[in-house]
Amino acid sequence: MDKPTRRRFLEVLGAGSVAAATSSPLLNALAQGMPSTSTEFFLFIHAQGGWDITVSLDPRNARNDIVMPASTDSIDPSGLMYWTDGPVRDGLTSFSMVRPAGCNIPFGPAIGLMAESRRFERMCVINGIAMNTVSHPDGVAFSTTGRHLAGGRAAAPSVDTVLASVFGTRQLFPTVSVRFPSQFVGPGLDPKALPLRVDNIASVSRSLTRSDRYVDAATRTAVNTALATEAHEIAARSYFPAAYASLEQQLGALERIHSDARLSSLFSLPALRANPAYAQLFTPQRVGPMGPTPVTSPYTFESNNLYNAAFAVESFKLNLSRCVSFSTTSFDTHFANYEDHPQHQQELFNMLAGIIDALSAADHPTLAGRKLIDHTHIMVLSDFCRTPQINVAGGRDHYPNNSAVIISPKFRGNRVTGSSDPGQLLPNATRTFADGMRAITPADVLATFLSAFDIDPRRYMRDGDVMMDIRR
Amino acid sequence: MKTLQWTAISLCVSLSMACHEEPRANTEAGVADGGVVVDVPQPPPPDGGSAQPLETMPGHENLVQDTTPKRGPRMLAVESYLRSYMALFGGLAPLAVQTQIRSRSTSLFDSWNDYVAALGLPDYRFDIDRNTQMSALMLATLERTGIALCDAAVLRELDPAMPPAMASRTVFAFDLPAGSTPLTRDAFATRFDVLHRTFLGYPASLAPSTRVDRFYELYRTQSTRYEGAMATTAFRVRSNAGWASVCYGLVRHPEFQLY
Amino acid sequence: MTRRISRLATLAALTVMAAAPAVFAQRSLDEYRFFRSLSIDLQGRIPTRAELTAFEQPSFNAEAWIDARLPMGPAAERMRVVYMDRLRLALSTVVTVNPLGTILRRIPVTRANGTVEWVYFRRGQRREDPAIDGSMCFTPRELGVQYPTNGDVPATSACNTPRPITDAMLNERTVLVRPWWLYRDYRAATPSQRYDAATWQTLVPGYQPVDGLLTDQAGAPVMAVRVCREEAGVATTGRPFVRTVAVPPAETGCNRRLVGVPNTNTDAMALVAANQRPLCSTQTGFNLSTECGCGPGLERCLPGAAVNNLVAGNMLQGELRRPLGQDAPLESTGLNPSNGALLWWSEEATHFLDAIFRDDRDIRDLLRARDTVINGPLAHFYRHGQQQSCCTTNHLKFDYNQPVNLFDPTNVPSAILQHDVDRWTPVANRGPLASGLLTMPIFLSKYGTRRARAHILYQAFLCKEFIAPNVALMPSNEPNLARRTGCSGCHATLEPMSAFYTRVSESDWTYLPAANFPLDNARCRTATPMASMPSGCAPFYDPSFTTAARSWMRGIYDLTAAQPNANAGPAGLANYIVAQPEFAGCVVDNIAESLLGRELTSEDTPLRTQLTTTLRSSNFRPRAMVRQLILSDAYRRANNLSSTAWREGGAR
Repeated sequence: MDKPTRRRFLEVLGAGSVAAATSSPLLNALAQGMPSTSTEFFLFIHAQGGWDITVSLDPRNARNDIVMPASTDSIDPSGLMYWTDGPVRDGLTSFSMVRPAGCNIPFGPAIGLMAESRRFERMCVINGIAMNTVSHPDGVAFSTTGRHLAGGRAAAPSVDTVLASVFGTRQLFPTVSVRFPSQFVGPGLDPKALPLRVDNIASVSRSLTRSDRYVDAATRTAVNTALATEAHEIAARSYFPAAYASLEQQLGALERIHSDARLSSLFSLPALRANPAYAQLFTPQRVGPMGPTPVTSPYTFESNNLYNAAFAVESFKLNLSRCVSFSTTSFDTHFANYEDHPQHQQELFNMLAGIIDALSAADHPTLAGRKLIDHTHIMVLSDFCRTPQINVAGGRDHYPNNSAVIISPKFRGNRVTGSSDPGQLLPNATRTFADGMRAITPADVLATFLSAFDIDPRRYMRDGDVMMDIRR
Repeated sequence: MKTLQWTAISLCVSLSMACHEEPRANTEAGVADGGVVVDVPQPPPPDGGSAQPLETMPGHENLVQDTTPKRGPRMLAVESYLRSYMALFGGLAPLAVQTQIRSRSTSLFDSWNDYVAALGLPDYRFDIDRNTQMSALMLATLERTGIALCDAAVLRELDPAMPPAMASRTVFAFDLPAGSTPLTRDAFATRFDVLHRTFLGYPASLAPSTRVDRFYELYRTQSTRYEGAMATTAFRVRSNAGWASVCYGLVRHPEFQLY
Repeated sequence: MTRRISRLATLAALTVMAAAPAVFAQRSLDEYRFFRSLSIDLQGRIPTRAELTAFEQPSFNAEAWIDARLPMGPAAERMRVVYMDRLRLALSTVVTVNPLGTILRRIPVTRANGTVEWVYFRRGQRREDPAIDGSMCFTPRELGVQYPTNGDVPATSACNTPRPITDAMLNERTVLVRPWWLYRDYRAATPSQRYDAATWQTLVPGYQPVDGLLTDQAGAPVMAVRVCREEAGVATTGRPFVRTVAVPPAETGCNRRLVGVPNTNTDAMALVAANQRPLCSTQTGFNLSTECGCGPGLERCLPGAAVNNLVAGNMLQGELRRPLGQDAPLESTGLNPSNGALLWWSEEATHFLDAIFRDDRDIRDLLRARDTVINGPLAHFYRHGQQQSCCTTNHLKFDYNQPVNLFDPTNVPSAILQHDVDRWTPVANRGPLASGLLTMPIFLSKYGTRRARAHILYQAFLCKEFIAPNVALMPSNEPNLARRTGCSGCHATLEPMSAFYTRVSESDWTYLPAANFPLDNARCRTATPMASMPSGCAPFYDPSFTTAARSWMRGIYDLTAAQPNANAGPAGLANYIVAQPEFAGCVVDNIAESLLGRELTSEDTPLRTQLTTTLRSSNFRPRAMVRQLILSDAYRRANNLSSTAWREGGAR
């Protein structure tokens, strides 16, 4: 057995590897049969609580069977950039569809700034996703892992964890999950890809703060060295060594974290807010014939998540994180709070537009002359959608249909795939999969996403077929 | 000989109370390599396939069979960590602990609300589940809170010119000889045993043979650094930084966080 | 014969050593680790040095040590956490609990002498003068200020020129009251036990009103508060108010009142005709009577230290959550009445669970028991707050004006006052409709829909999940999801379970009694339910199950099949759950997996069977099962040592 030494600790530190200093990432990758792509970044946004797609991605503005469109009676359209009075029926005024010039996607009025500056050209909208559930935990699990819960627990890893495991193990933070339902479950995942689950970005900075009043950094490093060696020795004597091996590796990561001066601004909300690169994100503007004008409706629901969005872009720019995931505030509007639901969705899409703009301006950290937007892949998903009917309390309940948005240079933009039936908003069987003609499922969406990066979905997913036609 | 990792390994990096790890086939070499799994082919059954006593098999005459149930470690629940923390502060309530630490230095500690989420406390209000898997952030937070606890304990029990009575000391329940020269290994060991029992719950004599030496080395080098003014410290007795280091190592030890 | 040497001391060895007068032998490492595990699991912390020293003595008896700790708080907390982690009974402050009838707001009023004084009022308070009916007792014209419905007057408002109110008008419209939040003896004729921060720490621990309630605009201690006269009413019932004078023309501009004048004559006249006087604690009383105020010492109402704010501002100093209990707060922050309600609701469930595990009660009581544990703020809620959800205009259409409560307010011990924040008192019987957690406001609010309530119970207490079959969902007109293709796989089970909550409103605790709400109501039948239901029906009767021949209550998916469940109510669901064969095993699984730190596998079948048998034979009192578990090999002998290390003694 190796004599525990600081030299060994630094070897572990340098390689960031669980196994041994001689197991290089390249050898790892060869052993796994995976190409070691490490120029791509991933952002996942969870529209928490179930979103009403009838006002955005799968719009309905006319009464049909059980479909009751949003109207001036059920929602407050005053803050919606794209609300234009539309069909009137039964005394209610609905909205006009939003169809920017050159856009192949019919949008609802909540689409916000994504309808402008041709940002829609990057959008691959997937409608008619069959959820087969209306339970929040189960819908979340199905959307993010491709499998329903089993015994109340996730049965597969979430997509961000998979990507971090394949591509992110050399980053300081392979995946950062801000209240996102990340899952580290199942075999074949690199332990370094364990999601860094945080409640909010700012709390990270407080956990990382250190005082030199009584001891200095050298002492703390010496302690971590000793602890890493202790963990290594315990692992060597353990029947289940993984926990201690993981501790050893994480102690190494901790040292890297402490030694990286860039982190103080990365996790600082004031620093992110003050960064001019994100001015547009925090204060969105519309570009018109007279030049840019501020969006009149300020952020109400997603103001805190703007920091998460800025953090994501910044961490990509610094090449510190491969995946960042966060959840929005809740869209679960069963009651009269549905009145503000479209406004809330508009904020989500405005934030998405701000992210796109920030990525478009940001240089890629390792590819000279390239912009991050060409190497960042975004997915927006939700638990499920909401009922086409408006309930007695003035809201919409859960419904087993869904939509998702992918913004990625590896996916064909400005298009919609999948659909739902006009009268009951249920998923249509729109294509033939290996198991026959059926509707799209979250597993298909995730499998397709993984396949775009040359990941064999079957390594991590039991279900799901690849929809090649939506990929470039 | 180091070998490549095999992805067939069903390793689950989990300290979860609810995650069951698949036990791996074990060999001496596999264990030492810390991650290699090699299937041990079973010897063919004797003629007729009938069972025979284990001890009649060559090489197994004196081999004790391990029939104990195996279980991966559990992570100390954040509530238990907090209660243990409070107990090490003499039973003070969390806010009182926070106040006491910050009275020494506001840079040592922020507030409990800043840390509990990172430590894995569930938040039922937002349906955030209990985090039962150790992460770098959790380690960082444990380092932050552990340093605060130890520094406060040193300041309270070792550093004063008139240290408190032994009965009231919750951490450093031992006296130090006059002078600030690092202790000998034996003198250190008896005092380390007190800390080992305090944090890890058993005598240092039952710990792996390398532990005392490793922590003595930590104590000795750090005491020397600060005593010799190679580093600055606000401790009145500069060499107490050595004891602080030992405390950091024990409050953050894998055997403290896992059980 | 090979000498098999067990390197692990057994529990028997520990007790044998205790009995033997022989020389003490050092404990083995595994014994220390077992003791540390016991301490963490049963005491909620690592063992102290003193406890280790006691453990090392020859006289130490592990079983006695365990038996002494199983009934204690930390062990109960350990069990409680198992269930709270599954049920997650807490709500974020996104949920607000601000019934108009219990929230006192305040605005500053300028007096003739130039001083400024807070005047408390309830938005929506009925007053005979139509100019101020439903609003603050001074008009915008009289105040010179037009207050928005929420928050303070904007700095840029043109309607902010305070006018002094004469003493005569002040005395006509307002009174001084010694309120409950300042006086312990607020019910006395002349209350004198005014709040004192020093002495009240002992008198009523945990009660700490915010500074804004203790001092006036000038910073002087408040001895009495000025409140609109109607709010000071102490009547317990109120005559329904029928307005007979015309509402004057609406003011304009800065003099315009921003809250509409209530028009409730129809409902009021119906009650008058029925000779009914609604209780002032109910929404009916608040909405319909000018005689219904906040009661003696304003006890029905909750103040806030803010200006006309929707959430009334902060009331008490406290915490938004208490993961370590009331004795170990992690924060000190201002609580407004809404945040306070959310905290206390959650704490009720916590204390209820603790009581069941601490006293080793039948674990089925979690679902079935009628008792609970409450503190002062909860007593206030159950006396006054809960009834503010009923009865609305829609309820009145079904002659429902006097709510039937899941927690009968008359069963709230009279000795508990609002100040008793940290004093928790058992209540033996909430009433005939109460049923464990199932009828607590935290459960009913957290799991607002009937199906959500049924679903979480299915998961947490039967350890089962609804997993939809891989069936395409086709458009269908079948309203009964228990029959509908693609849905029936789950809903055939879920609908009957949900039906037990037919008579409990969703996201609410309002009970809908059979006498007022028949499961099939002839009044609500219509051939065109989707177009419109008869007045007042839609909130209670489902258009999807309404035709010219029937109109079923929401929650009824099939009248014949659901009727028994609807009539049995939440207690019926509790009985259903505990009667399922999976119930006992699920209890075992939940607790065993938590204590063992892993899922139970097929290898644990004998253990699981043993534990389940013990649980059943002890009448579902879990302590015996827990004791058996922690004394089992699976717990005490489990280790993470490789066999090589184990053979070497586990350490070196």
